[in-house]
Amino acid sequence: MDLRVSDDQRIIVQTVRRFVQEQILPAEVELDPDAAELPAQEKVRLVAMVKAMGFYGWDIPAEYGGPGLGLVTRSLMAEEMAQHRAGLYAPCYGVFGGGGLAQLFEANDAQKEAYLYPMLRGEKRGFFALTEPSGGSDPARAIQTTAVRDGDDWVINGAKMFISSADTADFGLVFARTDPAKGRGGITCFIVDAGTPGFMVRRIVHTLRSAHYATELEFKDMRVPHGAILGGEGRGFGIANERLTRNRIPYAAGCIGVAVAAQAMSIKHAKLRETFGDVLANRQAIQWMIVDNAIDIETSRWLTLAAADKADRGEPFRHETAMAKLVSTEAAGRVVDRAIQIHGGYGVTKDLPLERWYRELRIRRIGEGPSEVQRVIMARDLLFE
Amino acid sequence: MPLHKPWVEFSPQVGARIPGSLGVFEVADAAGATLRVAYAGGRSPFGLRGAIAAAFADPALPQARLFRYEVNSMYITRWKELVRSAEGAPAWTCE
Repeated sequence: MDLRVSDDQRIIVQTVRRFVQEQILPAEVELDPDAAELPAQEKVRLVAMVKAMGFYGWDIPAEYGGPGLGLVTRSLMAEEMAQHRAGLYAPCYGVFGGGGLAQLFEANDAQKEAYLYPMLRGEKRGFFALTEPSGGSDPARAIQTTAVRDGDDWVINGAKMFISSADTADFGLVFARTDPAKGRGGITCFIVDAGTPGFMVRRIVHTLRSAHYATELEFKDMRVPHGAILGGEGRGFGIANERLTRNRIPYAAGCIGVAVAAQAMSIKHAKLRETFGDVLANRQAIQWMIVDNAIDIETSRWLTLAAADKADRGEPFRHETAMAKLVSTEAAGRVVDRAIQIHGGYGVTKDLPLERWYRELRIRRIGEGPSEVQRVIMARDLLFE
Repeated sequence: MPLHKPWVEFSPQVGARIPGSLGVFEVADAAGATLRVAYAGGRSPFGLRGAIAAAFADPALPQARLFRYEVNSMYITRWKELVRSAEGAPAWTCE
C-alpha cells in the first residue's frame, strides 16, 4: 500500500485549503453561528470561483461532466472543505456543487433525462428515503413500506423517518418492500415525484444539527408507474448499500477536517492562554490532550485514506470503510471534546465553532450507519467470510 | 408546525420580560396578520428580548403591534419551518 500524496493531489489540497481560508472563513464571520447558507449573491460569486478552478461538481464522474476524481483525492478535499464552522454538514456552503443522489447514476436513459441531468444542473433537488420509524440500521428487515403491483403501476404505503429536506425537494428515491418473502432481495427503489397523490410530508424533525432539518414522510395508496423503478425490481438494497458504503469514506474525511480545525485552535489557544503564571502549552494535562488529539487525527486519516485507496483500486473496501467510519466519527468527537476543555468557558459559547461541531459530530456516530453497525459489518467479515 | 401561541401586544414593559434566550418570533399588525418571521440567533446581543425590541423599533414595520415567540436553540431550522408555513406550504405537507 502506497499512500504517498501525488504532486497533483498536493496542489489540489493546497488550492482548496487556500479557498477555505481566503473565501469561506471571511464570509462566515458575517453569518449567524448556526447558518447553513451563504447570501445568494455571495454563493454565486464563490461558485464561479470554484468552476474556474475546475472543481465544481467535485464528486461527479467525468462521464457526467464532473472532474472524475478518485476517492483518495476526494477524501483529501473533504478534509479541507470541512475546516470551518458549518463544514461538517454544509462543507463550503455547497459551492463545490456535487452529485447529490449518486444512486441515479444507475438510472435508465429516460430517468437520467428526467431526474439525473436536471439534478446535476442544479434545477431539481432530490431526497433519499430509506430509514423508517421502525429503524434505519437494518433496512433489509426494518423496511415495512410496501409496494404492490397493480397493472402497470405500483401502489406504495408506509412511512419514512429522518429524511433530509424532503419538503423542499422535487423528487425522491423511496425504498419499499415488493416481495416480503425475499428479504433484502425483495426491496425495490422507486423514483417518486413530490406532490404525487398519496405523498405527504408529515412534519419537520429538528435535531442537534444546525445545518439541515429532517422530515417524516407518509405514503397512502401512492401510485407510481412501473417505469419509476430504479435499477430493477428487487435491486433496491444493493443500490442503497453500495452507495452508502462508498459515501462513508468522504463522510469520515469530513470529520477529520473538523478535528484538524479544532486541534489548530487548541494549539493556538494553549500557547496564548496563561494560568497561574504560565501558558497552558506548558501544562502536562494540556500537552497530553494535544497529543491524544494528534493520535486520533492521524489514526483516522490513515484508515480513511486506506479505505479510499482500496476503493479506487477496485478492491473490496467494505471492511476498511466500516473501520474508517467508526474510528473517524468517534475520534473527531473526542478531539472536539478535548478542544472545548482546553478553551474552557469560551469553548461552549457560540463565539467559537466548537459547540456546533460538538453537537453535529454526535450525529456522525449514528448517521450513515451507527458505530455498532460498523462493528457488525467488520465482525461478519472477520468471523464468517 | 406553525407557532400556535396567542399574540401578545408589545410595549416596553412587556418587552422587558421577554427572555434573552435564542429562539424564533413573529411580529403582526393589530389584526394578527404576520408581518415578519425572524429569529434571535447566536450573534444577537440580548437574544429574543433584544431582537423583538429591535423589530418594533424598525421603521420598516410601522404597523407592528403584536408578537409571539418560542425559545428554541435549534432556531435556524425552526425559523425555516415557520417561514415555509408563512409563505404557504405545498399541498403535500401537513401544514
